[in-house]
Amino acid sequence: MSSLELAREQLAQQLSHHKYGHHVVSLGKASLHAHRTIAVGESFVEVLQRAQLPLGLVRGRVYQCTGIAPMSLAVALVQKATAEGSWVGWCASEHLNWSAARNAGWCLERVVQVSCAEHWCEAVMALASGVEVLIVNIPPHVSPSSVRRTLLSAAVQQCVVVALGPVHAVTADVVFSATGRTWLKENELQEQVAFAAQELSVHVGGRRVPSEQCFSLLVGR
Amino acid sequence: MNHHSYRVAIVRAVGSDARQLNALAQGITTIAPLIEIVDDEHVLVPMRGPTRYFGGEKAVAEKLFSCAPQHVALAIGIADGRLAGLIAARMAQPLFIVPAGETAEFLAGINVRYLEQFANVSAHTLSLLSRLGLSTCGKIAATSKQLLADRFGPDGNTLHTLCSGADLHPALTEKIPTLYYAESHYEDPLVQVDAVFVATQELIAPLMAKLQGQHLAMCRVVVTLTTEHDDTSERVWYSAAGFYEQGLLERVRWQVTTWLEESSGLTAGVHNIAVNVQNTVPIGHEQPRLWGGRSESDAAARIAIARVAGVVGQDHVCVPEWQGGRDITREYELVPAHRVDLAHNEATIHRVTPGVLRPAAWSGDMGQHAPMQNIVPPEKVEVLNDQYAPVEVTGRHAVRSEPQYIRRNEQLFPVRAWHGPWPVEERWWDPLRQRRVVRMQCLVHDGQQEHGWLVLLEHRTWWLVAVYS
Repeated sequence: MSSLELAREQLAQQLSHHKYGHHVVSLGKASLHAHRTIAVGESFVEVLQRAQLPLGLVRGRVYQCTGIAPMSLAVALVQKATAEGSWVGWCASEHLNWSAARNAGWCLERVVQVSCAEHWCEAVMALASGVEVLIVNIPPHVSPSSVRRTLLSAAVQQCVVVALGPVHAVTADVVFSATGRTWLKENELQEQVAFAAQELSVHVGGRRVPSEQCFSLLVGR
Repeated sequence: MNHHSYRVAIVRAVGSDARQLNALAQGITTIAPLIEIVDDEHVLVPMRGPTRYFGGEKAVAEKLFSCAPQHVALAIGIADGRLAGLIAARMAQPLFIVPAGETAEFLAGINVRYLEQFANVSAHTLSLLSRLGLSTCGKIAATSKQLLADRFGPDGNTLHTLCSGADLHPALTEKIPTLYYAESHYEDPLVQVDAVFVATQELIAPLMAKLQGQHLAMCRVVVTLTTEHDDTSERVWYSAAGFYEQGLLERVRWQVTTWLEESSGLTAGVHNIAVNVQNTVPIGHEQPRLWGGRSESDAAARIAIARVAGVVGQDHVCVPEWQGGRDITREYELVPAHRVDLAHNEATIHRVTPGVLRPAAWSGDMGQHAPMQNIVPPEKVEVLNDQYAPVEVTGRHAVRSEPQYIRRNEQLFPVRAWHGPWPVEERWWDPLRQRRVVRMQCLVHDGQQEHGWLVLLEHRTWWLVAVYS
C-alpha cells in the first residue's frame, strides 16, 4: 500500500466516526482516481497526442467506437487497460469472441459480461460503481433521457464508457470511426491462404477533440 | 438421527428481482421465523415448527405458495437438507417432496454436476470426480470417507457429507448460542443507506479480522437493524464457504434498501446495528497472500458484480472460462460469476488460461484472424454459386463450385473474396459428441460497405457463426 493510500485510509478511519464520515470517504476515493487516466496502446497514444487530447482514457468521459468495425476498435482501445489491472464490464448485446479478445491482448480474468436488455440503466449504473471501463451499446427501447441520466451516473463514478455503434441521446466526448479497411493475407506462398489481419482507417473526432485526426490501426496480428 | 429436525423447504422464486424477493421473504416470515435468503432466487425455510403448526408439509407448502408476489412463479422442494432441497426445488413442478429419511436415496441418482451449482464444488474437482468414475452423488457416498479425504483433502469430507444427504450446518430451528457478537449504538440515528452501510462495515471489519487471525470465516450471521421507533429488520445470512467482507456487506445493503421500500418499512433512522455470528468454517485455502491480497480495483469490481447480480439476476452476470476445443468461436464459455472464485488471483488466472483447468489438446487453429463478434445462436444462411445452387464441399475438403453469393435473411450478398474451406473435426472418438464441420472466411458487400463473415458447413447446412466486426 502506498503512503498516499495509507494516509487516505487513516483519514477515512478518523472521519468515519464523524456523522458525515461516509461522504468524506467516498469523496476521497473519487478525487484520487479522478486525476488519473487509463492507459491505451501505442497506436492510440500517438493519435491522441496529435489530436491534443490526454494520452489515455479519461475517467468520466464517453468514447464512441463506430463505423465498419466498432468491436475491433473498442477491443483495441481497451486492451492496455485490462493488461494494467482495470476491470472491464461488457454490457452490449453483441457477443464478443473471447478468443479474439485474448489474442488482442485482453486479460480475461478482469472482464465481466452482463446481459441486461430489460434493466439496462440500473445494470450499467450498478456496474459503473466498481469497474473502470464499461463497454455498452444502447438498447433501442431506452429513452434518451434515461441514457443521459445513466451515462451521467457512470461519469460521476469516474467510469470510462465506451459506446459501440451510434449513440443518439448524447454527444460522445471522443469518437473513433472506422471508415475503411484493408485485409491482409497470410501464407501467400502455400495452399492455406487466410485473412490474417485487417488494417483499419480510423477517424478521430468528437466534441472534445480540438484537432480531428486519422490513423491506421492493425487488428489481428 | 431425527430427520424431521433438519427438514427444510427451499422456495425458488423463478425470475424474481430484489424487490419481489423481499416481498416473498416478508410473506414467508409470517409463516416461519429464521428463514435464510440463499441467493437471489432461493429462500430456505426450516420446517419443524411450521409443519407442527399447520399440520403437515403439504399444508405448509400451500401457505408458502400463497406468499408468491405478483408475476412470480414459485417452485418448492422439501427434503432433509439444503442440497437435496435445492435440487428438489429445481425439479419441482411446482412441488417436490423428498420423503423424510430418503434423502440419501434421492441424491444417489443425482449427477455430480449439480454440486457445482448448489454446493460450490469447483469445476476442477468435478472434472476429477468424473474421471475417477464418481459421476453420481450415490457413488461418492458409497466411497470410503477416508479415501475421499486422502484424495481431495478437507473437500473430500465435505463431499461425502453432502452426498450422504447430511448438511454441513443444519438449518436453524431455534436461536442458538452466539459465537461472536458485535453491536453498535448511534446517538445520531443513521438516516442514509450509505451511512448504515459504512457503519456496518466498521462493525464487521474488526470481527472478520479477528476470525481470520484464528483461520476462521463466518458462515452463518444474523444481522439485526433497529430504528429509533424500535422497528427491527433481522436477517439470517448463510454461505457454506464462509463470507468475505464485501459479500456480507452487499447482503446488508440489500437488507436495508428493501426495508426502505416496504410499505411498513423504515419510519426513523437506524440507531442500533448488531452482528451475531452463529457458525464459522475453517478458512482452509482462503488465506490472504503473503504480499497482500487483491488490489482496491479488484475488491470494488467484486462489489459491483454482486450489486449488478442483484439487479439482473445472478445467471446474467458472467465471466469467461476457457473450455478448449477446436472451434475458435467456442474456446471460451461464459459461466455465472457467482459460481467462480473471483477473490483469488491464481484461481482467476487459471480460469482463463488455456490448458490449466482442462488439458490443452491441439486446438486445430489454422492461424486465422479470429472474428471479433460471435453470432449467437448461429444464423442459417445459403452459400450459393453463380448458378444460385448451394456450394458443396467434397470429402477431401474442396469446394465443388466457387461461392458467389450468400443469402442471409432473404437478402443476397455478393461474395468479393473467400478463403477455405478448413475442416474441423472434434471428438471423433465419441459417437455422441463428435462433430465434423468445415469453415470458410468470406468477404461480402451489402452495396454500401464490405463485411467479413465466418461461415460454417455442418450436415450440408451453412451457418453464419461470426463476423469480423
